[in-house]
Amino acid sequence: MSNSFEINWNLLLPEIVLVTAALFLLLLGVIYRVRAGGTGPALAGAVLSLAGLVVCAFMTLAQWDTVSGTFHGMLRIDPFATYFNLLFLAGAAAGVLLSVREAGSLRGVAGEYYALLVIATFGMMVMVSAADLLVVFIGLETMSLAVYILVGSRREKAESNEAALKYFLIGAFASGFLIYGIAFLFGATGTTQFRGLAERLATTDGGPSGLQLLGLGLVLIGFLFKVAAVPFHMWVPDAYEGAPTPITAYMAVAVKAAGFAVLLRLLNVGLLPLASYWLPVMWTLAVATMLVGNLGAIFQSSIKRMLAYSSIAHAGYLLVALASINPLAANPADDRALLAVLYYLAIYTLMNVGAFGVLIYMGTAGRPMDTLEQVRGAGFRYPLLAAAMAVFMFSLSGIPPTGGFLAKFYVFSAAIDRGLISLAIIGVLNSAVSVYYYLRVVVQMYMRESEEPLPALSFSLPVALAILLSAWGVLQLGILPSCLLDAAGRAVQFLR
Amino acid sequence: MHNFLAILLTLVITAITVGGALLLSALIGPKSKMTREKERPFECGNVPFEEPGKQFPIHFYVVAILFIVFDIEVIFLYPWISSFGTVGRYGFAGAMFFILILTFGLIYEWLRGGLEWH
Repeated sequence: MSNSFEINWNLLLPEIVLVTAALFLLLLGVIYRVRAGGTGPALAGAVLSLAGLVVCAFMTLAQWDTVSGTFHGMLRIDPFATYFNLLFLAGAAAGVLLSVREAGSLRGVAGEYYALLVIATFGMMVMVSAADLLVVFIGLETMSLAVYILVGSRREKAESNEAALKYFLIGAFASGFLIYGIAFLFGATGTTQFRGLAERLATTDGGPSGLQLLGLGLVLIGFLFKVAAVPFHMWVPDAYEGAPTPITAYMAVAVKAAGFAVLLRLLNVGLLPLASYWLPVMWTLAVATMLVGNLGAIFQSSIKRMLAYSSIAHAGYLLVALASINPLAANPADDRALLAVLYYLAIYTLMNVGAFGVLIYMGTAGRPMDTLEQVRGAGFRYPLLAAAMAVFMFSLSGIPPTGGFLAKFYVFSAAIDRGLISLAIIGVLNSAVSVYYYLRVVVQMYMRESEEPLPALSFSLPVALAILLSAWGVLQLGILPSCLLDAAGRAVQFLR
Repeated sequence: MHNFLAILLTLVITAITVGGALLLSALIGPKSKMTREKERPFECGNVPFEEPGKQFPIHFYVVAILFIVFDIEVIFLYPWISSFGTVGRYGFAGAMFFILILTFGLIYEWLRGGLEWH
């Protein structure tokens, strides 16, 4: 035990870069504001956080072939973690790009704004690299606390404060469930490590004890809150609507991806012996989540709220894939359900970043883009933006040749592979319902005239870049998905 | 089971200490009437229930947060000191790094005016 303090810090280089960037962002915010004022600090913050995220992404990419543990097996860096880390970094970079226009009006907290965005991303990276429930919890809290504040970062707006308070109260409640469940699992098995948990659960005589099942249930509730599955979705519409739009986009893509990444690792490693208990739960929740999300979205006149319900519905489709996991698959890379989740989350990130990006671009300072009436006639006034929005709406509803179609195709075919025909049928029917509310946006843009002339939009390079890259990604990966599928296959290979 | 003996002992000693203090003050202390102030739940020096819209000093909370930061720092430094010989140079570097991160927080709060009492 002479070298028991040795920790492989090299594996943590990406995370160290992120935290360093966050600390300097924090200082930059205060020092620069005292000297300069105006929009200078906001711009400097955006540049510094983008630089940190890009450097971190390259370092993460360099770890693509690494499969190793550190911190005495508390963290595990493998292609699965790397895949999701890159996804979070992409989501955070998109969040920064979309924020550039808004952050100028943040009244002197721009440095903190970007620092929190970077810290939240760091929390997600810890979450998905964790091989221990307690480390997952630390990562989750790091992420959540930062996002609670970001949701309320428009301090002069009542709805932003309301959204932050609601999100915080419900999120703290969910964290309570999670830590309670971890305590029960620890009490029942004597370990919080994923591998150890799987071993102890598999060797329990006469099936799992009530304590183990209680722990399983509470832990699942904790994570299902974060991914916004029904019946734990109540906070989503209000939190998404009240938050600044770039943060809404960040929450919709990165926070959800982080929740699903941890669920995948936990269910496939630690809780795999209990698969016969959690698979039916996933089946039921998938149906409920798809129904509530899609039916709720139909009645929304605010596009942001519609996208919030749509994010609930997409959590439902992802739960279909979780319900189709084959716990007995010899090689997890052959399990199409796992591949489907990874592909889906990547496409979902692109679609949502794009859709929210268009909303941000179309809005002006005095006239934030919100309702369906406001996009009337946009197809003629802003042809390029409207075309991009149409691509994202087609992709969200799952119409080829977009990535959204293939994502849903993989999810439902995985369900059929496992013989869950009724689940696949419910999913496809829900998907058909969703076409109505997504294409309503397209109809408003191209087939209705606006009552008042639409204002000219000022050009914003960062937002345009985010929209362009997402549109390109949605189309490219919809037509040629193999590179992403290969990466996903390699990522899940080391999952179990 | 002897693993949990220490916990049981802690529980018993806590119960004796608290119960004993209550019992003694009830037996030999002066009898006092229950007042409105006494029946109110304790909330760290704040009035727990009152009309919203009143002003309250946010500054108090900023200073309190600073106190928590250094409180936690000390809690983490005690085990480091008590195992200073075993953790060696590596532990020293770790503790210094930890203090460095906290220093960033202190500089931040200082520059934002959190230490100025108006």
